[in-house]
Amino acid sequence: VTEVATQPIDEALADKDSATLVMEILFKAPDSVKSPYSRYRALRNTAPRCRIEFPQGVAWVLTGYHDCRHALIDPNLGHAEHRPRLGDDRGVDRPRTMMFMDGPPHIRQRGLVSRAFTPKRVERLRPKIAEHVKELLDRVVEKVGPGGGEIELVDSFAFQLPVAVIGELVGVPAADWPLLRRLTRAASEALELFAGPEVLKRSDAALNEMEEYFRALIAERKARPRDDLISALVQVEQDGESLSVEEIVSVTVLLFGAGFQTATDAIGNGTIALWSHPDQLAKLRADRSLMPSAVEELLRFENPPHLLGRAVQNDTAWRDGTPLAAGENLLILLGAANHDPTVFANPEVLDLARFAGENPPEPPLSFAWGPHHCLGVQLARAELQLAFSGLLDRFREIEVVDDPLKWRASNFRGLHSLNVHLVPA
Amino acid sequence: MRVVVDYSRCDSHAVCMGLAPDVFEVGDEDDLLHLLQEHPPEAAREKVREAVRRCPKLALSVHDDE
Repeated sequence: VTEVATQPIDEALADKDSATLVMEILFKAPDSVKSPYSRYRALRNTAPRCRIEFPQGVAWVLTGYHDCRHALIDPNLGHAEHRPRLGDDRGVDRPRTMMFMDGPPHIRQRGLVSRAFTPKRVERLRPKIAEHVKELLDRVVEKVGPGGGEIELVDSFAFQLPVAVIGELVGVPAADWPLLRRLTRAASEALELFAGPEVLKRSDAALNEMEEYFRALIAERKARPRDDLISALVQVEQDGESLSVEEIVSVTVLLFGAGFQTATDAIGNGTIALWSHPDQLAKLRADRSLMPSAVEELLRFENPPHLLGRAVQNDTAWRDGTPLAAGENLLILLGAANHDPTVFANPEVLDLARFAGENPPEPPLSFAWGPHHCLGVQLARAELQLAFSGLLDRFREIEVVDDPLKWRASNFRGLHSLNVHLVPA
Repeated sequence: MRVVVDYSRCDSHAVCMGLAPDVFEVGDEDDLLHLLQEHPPEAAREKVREAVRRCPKLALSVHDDE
């Protein structure tokens, strides 16, 4: 049974019915793009499981933590054929990334690469990540000068760090990162709800180009192996069976794309959250042992993926018995789940110590949950901890210049760009 | 109580080891989860149940002893 804690609703939203709130969230009303949380709250208060009939079918819009978590783990819920649309344009024989697979094929593809991202393996990457942070921030310090100055932080740091880490790990040459960034952005447009035919076409073209790119790179590594994941995959024999080139293509496209895009957003979002809460920032400066909890909290507070979709594959039911019919869709609002007051006390308050101590709250759904729980979670945590440590170490002051902030209208909450004024320490 | 690990799901995150180190261990050498006690004693059961709930990959389950 979903317990609903009543929170005050913004006056401007008080008269809106749940269907209107859903439309404004999904269709990205400008002030919902700026901050979706007041609408999430209003919707959770009035209809935490909001069932809406769209022309394309029935969708349940979920804003409660426990419903969202259930939707991510119930084996009767999956990705079905019609959602998401990535790859739809390309015929059934083409591989799709494991993000949209269910069951044994998903487990097989994931198993090929998951061992490269365990806590122990990531721990060994930390010195290398710290080195990247240092080099990138050296350049930033040089640009702003000793007295301080303005710089755009997404291109100069938030993107550069994760792309360098995943690029080296997978084995993608640095010269190709900007091209692949553009292609990943275009390919991911298909993940937006209601992406039109033009967008899907563009997205598929980008995906095809990425696949071509990785096919060529795989051939190159086959001829001249290096110490990277692509070379390892080329050589791997899983259960006595070699991997097909197309499988390696599908895995590397996803790893590389997912490896930097959301981490870029998380660094940008976290920077804004940290430097707009001076008391919390001071607390973290004074006690760096809070950093792991701080990163969990920053990811809870402003996590990048705000919407995941699932489809009901077999008739099933919610835990309270409410039926869910095959063919219906679920829209899982992770950003709303992470602000559910029944799980996170005072969810709109940034509390960097929230996950420190003996009895932390339930884990946030920032990295989803269940079979598709983010493969790169440990890497993301390490990158974020080292990125924020680097910013704290190297800069006495960080002031956000943009007003308003340049949020993208996307299911992935993140910034186009972030202009800041920095004063080196 | 009998603990079962689904190795096709486990990502070696070691969340379980953090909660119940007497029951779960991620090996230094092989980086794989080892079940130290298939039948944990009464005192460890609450933490084991918490580990089941907090495993992000749902790789753990507990069953009644036959």
